[in-house]
Amino acid sequence: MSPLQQKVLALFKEALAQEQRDLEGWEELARFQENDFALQVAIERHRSNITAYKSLIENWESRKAGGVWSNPRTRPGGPRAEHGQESVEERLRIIADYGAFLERRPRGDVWDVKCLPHDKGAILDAIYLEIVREADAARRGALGGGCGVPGGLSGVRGGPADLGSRR
Amino acid sequence: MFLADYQECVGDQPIWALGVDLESADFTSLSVDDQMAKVAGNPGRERYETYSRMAGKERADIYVRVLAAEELGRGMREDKKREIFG
Repeated sequence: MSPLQQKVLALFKEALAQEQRDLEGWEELARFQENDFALQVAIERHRSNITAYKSLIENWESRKAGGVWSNPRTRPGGPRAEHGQESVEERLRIIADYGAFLERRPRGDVWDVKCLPHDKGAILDAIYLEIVREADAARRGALGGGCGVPGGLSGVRGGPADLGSRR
Repeated sequence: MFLADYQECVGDQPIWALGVDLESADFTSLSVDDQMAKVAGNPGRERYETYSRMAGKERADIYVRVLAAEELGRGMREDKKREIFG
């Protein structure tokens, strides 16, 4: 396994740990919001993601997975078949829509994911993949800043709006 | 406020850390005593704290993934990037 593959494997392991922590959070929340169907769906989704990550990691570690980089399901960003298959143009459009959304978002500390212009996972996947692909350090910083990474937007002209600019 | 602050099952209205929108006319028009009473009596505090913890965890996850993505990008040849990401 190459150093690059090892790094991606570590990324997936971290993602698995995060899914497990999220699941614990949702289960804790379920104690306050009983009989919440949407919450149960979210819990099931995290369980399903955990199973998918575990299977992915197991396959990688046993080296059974061939051509993992060319398989959209196993690209960085998680085992979501519906994400990661977008073309560059689609990814840039998702990011541009999110950048425009940031410019006009209403006040509030926590909002429902349904407010976002695209699925949150799709936005994150698009941003992660563009960070990997992007050669320009300032634009990588802007992309990271759009996710909320500290200092990501500092020194980048235009701030969040710059996420929406096409090269 | 960024991606981690968008969570599932929040509903149509946002959750406020102090239970109220401090900039809204409904709040600013109150007397200081009433404002304090409103913030002190925030019934959604526990709910906000639960969501806040989840958002914090997700923020850390996003941070790790962004760093990993940056490292991947630096370590990958341009022709390989084009082959993989289009």
